[in-house]
Amino acid sequence: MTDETREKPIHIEVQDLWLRRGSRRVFEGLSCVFPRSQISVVLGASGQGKSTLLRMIACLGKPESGEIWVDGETELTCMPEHQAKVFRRHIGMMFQGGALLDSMTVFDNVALPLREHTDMTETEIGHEVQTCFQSVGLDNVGALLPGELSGGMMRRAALARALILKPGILMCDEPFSGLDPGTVRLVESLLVDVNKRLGITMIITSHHIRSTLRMAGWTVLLTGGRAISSPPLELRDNENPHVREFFAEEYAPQPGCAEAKP
Amino acid sequence: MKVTPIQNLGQRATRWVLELGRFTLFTLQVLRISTRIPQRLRRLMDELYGVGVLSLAIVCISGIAVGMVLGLQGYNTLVRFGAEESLGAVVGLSLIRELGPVLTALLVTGRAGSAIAAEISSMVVTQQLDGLRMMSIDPLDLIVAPKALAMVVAMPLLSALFIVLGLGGGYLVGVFFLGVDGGNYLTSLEGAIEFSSDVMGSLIKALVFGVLVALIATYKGVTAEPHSAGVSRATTSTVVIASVSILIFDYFITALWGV
Repeated sequence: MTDETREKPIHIEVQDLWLRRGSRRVFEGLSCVFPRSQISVVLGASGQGKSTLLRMIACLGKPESGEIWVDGETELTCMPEHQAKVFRRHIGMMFQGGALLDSMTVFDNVALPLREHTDMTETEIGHEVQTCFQSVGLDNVGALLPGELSGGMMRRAALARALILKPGILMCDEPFSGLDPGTVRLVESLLVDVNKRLGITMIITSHHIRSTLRMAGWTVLLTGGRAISSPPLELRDNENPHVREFFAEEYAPQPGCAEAKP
Repeated sequence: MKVTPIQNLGQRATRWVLELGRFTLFTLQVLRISTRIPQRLRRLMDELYGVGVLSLAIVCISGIAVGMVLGLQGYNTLVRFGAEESLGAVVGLSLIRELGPVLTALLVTGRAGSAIAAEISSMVVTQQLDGLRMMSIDPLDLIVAPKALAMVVAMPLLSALFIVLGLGGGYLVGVFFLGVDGGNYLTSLEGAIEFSSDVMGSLIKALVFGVLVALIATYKGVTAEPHSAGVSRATTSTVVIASVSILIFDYFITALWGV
């Protein structure tokens, strides 16, 4: 990355994305931007294409038409696989279920990218992995298998693996789903800390409105195949009927809550 | 829109040709990547343990059992013609030319082929392969090629073991239970088997079956649909397609090369 691109405020720009799955339209001219070095949260009801958008930014899927620009210089949708492979080294991805290799220990999982892409010795790799474990608050888990970790530990191990190659962009697919409120706070503060410390651009998909309002610097709401983007508080106060509907549903009391009160 | 039977047939044929094309491309990619296997020697050893060592028990027990049945059936047939001294030749030829490679391949398909398909398809469901792609690591390189190569290496070895134990089973029944002379058993066996055509042919057959099972199991795993039904479909279709392919290829190898 050149100094000139470092100064550009827009890191990723999605332009007029169209995608169909069978008879269902997922994107209908979706356009949005992701600012550099900020936490952007992609919101939207299930099936609106949040994870699909992340996959396209990671070159794991292609739209029918549209463009995705990084730094205004690199176009991703037309990128051949061998170039996409090189590009992905600059992106870290934290999958919803962790996606750690279950046949390897947590240490080997985190060390894998270093063993594959660097000439570091095993001692150096060990040091680097331990540093990464400390930065995400993991201790004494290196010898465990992923199946032996709790949900929160699994997310942190996945985060450690996503960060080990020091990416410029970090994408997290539903990092809070299935976690208790305390662990949500923990993972949230971890992501904010990583963003502050490393200054990397983060794109997070989430349903979790409260954590979004706390941590996001930018929000993108996917609805009806299009995107509505703005800072989080402005999005919450947006008068667009789709936005109002989404926030109203998320804040609506759960059925049976009133009856449960003593 | 109503689909006519002709359109339906056309769609099926197109899908089948597309699938064949994808499988061919997959095969070429795996072959290309397999040349880099020395860098993955450790993983190859791990997979050899999974495919080879863990299949030993089933192959050994089946080999002895098949040899004993062949000894018994062969003796009952040969004794009618007063040719029971040729029992070694009958058991040996049946095992080496046909039953050894075919039965081993079917057994290994059921045990290790299905395990490979289930493991890889589970990795698809849990996004582990996507996780590797995101780290710029080719899943075919790290996961598929070592498994496929382990199957190709293990199959001839397991087949050879099956044959040796089958010969032992035939000897056990023929010599100890039915009273055939041990020397005659071994002499007829030695006289009937030609190393270059029979033994080498048998090993080549096993190698071809190993390639078939390896490619089918890994392809079905990698292309599995990302849900639990996809895992069961990948596993079942691996066993069915590999088993049928083994029997069809067995016929053609025997018909074309007389092995």
